Amino acid sequence: MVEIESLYKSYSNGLNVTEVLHDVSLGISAGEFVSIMGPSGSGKSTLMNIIGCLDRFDRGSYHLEGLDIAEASDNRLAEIRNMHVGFVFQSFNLLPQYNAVENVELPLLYADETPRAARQKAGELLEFLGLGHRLNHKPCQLSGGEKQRVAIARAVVNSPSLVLADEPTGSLDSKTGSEVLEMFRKLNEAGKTVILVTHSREIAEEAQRIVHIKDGVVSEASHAG
Amino acid sequence: MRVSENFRSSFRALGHSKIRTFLTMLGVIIGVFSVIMLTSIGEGVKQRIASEVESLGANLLYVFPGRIQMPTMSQTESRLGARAGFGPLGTANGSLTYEDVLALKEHEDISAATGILSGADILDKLNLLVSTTGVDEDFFRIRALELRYGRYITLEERESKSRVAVIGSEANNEIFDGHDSTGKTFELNGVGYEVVGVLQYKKVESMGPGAEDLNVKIYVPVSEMLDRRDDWSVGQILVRAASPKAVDSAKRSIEGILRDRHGVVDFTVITQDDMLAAINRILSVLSAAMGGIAAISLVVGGIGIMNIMLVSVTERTREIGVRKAIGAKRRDILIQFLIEAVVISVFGGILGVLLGVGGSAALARIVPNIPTAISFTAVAVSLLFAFAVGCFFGVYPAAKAARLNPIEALRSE
Ligand SMILES: Nc1ncnc2c1ncn2[C@@H]1O[C@H](COP(=O)(O)OP(=O)(O)OP(=O)(O)O)[C@@H](O)[C@H]1O
Ligand SMILES: [Mg+2]
Repeated sequence: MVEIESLYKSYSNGLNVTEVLHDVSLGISAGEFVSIMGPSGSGKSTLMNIIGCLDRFDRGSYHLEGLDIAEASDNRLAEIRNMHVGFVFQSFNLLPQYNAVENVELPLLYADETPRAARQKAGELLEFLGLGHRLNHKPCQLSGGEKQRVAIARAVVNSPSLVLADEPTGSLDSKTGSEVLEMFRKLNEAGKTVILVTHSREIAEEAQRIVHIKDGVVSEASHAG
Repeated sequence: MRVSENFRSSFRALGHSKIRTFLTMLGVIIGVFSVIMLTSIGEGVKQRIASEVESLGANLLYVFPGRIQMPTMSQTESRLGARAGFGPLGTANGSLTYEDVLALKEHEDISAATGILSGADILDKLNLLVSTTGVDEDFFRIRALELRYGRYITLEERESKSRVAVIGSEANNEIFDGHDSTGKTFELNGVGYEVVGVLQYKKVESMGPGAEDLNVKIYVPVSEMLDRRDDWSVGQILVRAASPKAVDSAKRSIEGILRDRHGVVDFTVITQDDMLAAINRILSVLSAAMGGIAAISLVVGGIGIMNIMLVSVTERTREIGVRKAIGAKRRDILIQFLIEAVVISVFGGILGVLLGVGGSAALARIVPNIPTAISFTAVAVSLLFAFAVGCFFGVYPAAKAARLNPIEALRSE
């Protein structure tokens, strides 16, 4: 599913160059549930963004479902983000002017679905996630947990095979956090590959495998209890 | 994304900040409004003059002394600045004589011909220098002037050089206090003239041939006026062709007769159509120039659009990042923002057209001396121009939005 070989990524702000990822190699197979842990600033988000095709890298190779990402055009990457990857952010990133169902249907519209089919599919998914009574609520009218569930619905509405979550419970209390976590486990049970960044060992241990990053180096890939 | 969906998201974004959208639109509205107003005045003047000229009768021909160049299409295009146009009208250099008029009257293509001679005489009663006009009996057949009292000047009076006059209603008011003055006499240069006719009052138009104030006219037989002078030259010959169809052959006949009589071509024959075409050409250039100046404000409106779109792209960087993260392509973002700019400009254009149409109708009603007429071309061109302005000034901000790197856009606050 995800094959990363000797990947390097650095940021430069004119004068100094910061190397954020150093010779990262990582393989994740289809259907796995993987947690990524590491101290703040270690490069977890940077790695997730690259896996999610939101960002490009400097050197090395990355294949997603056999596709060479380094060679893919911007348009192709947009298609991959749309069809193959679902991304869940810590800060939800819902469009504030749009209500829940409108947010969820957006990926379908970008996939050229008809507005009617998109609306129906988005509504059904939210219904299924227990948000049937919140379809027409704007993000500002939703609780944190509800927002994150809407964001997860948006991530999976196009049936991607890979779901990425960068600290999805970071802004939530522990109860709603565990509810959200439960959703990822269900998604994984339904056959999706899930990669989850977290600071909490407890949450990380929900996964089958924990990947540790420190100073841009994948130091250890251990199997969780 | 389907284009219809792009439209939907653009309308939503515009509707979300209505005041800003409206203020941005206002630049375009004002621009299109002024284009429509100014060109409608130009068009109105053109139509008013055309109808004035046409009301004189379609089969009129004017003969002027000297050679006058009528501006042809190629001349107005190539030498706009040069003085291609009418020469000094009616400044007789002596080339047209009353014998010419008499010769023209004989021809079968010509139903009427009169010499027109303007003079200046002392009106003794008011001790005032007034302008008088020498005409013959055909003048009143060509120009259908309505009589209030009496009759026109007759062939016999012209032949016998009688001291008779047909006067305008204003002149009648001044000299005879507005009463029926036929049979009464007034004195010019110490000599008595008998009034044979008084004209009906006629409203003076603001422009065109109707702008000539007929109410102050004093018409005397041209022969009587010529008799007081040394030569027999007339300022202008007015000819009516036998029928509208005969205008062209009448023109050729006049040119033939006069060339034979003079030996050279020292005169110009102008038909009603020539006159109208020349006036139209000049006025078209004028109204296009006015429209062009107004179009500058449309460009300023376009700069306003660009400015607001750039602000909007900056404000919505995060939204752009989110859209890209869930699969929006460059094209999707480009189209979305371009549509916003074009919607502003086209809606502004439509509102400007509506206001311009209303405004020019109101103007014509409030100030009747300023005629207005909406030309379809002006409406179409200004709408197209507004559309082009939206595209032109919208494309840069939209391209800027489309180029954003998704992760950088997402990180922006
Ligand atoms: N756009 C950027 N320009 C320069 N440096 C950056 C940029 N983005 C990230 N960095 C740097 O890269 C390093 C890794 O950042 P990253 O966001 O991947 O860390 P992280 O592991 O996700 O941290 P956290 O747990 O706090 O979210 C940090 O030192 C950060 O300062
Ligand atoms: Mg992070």
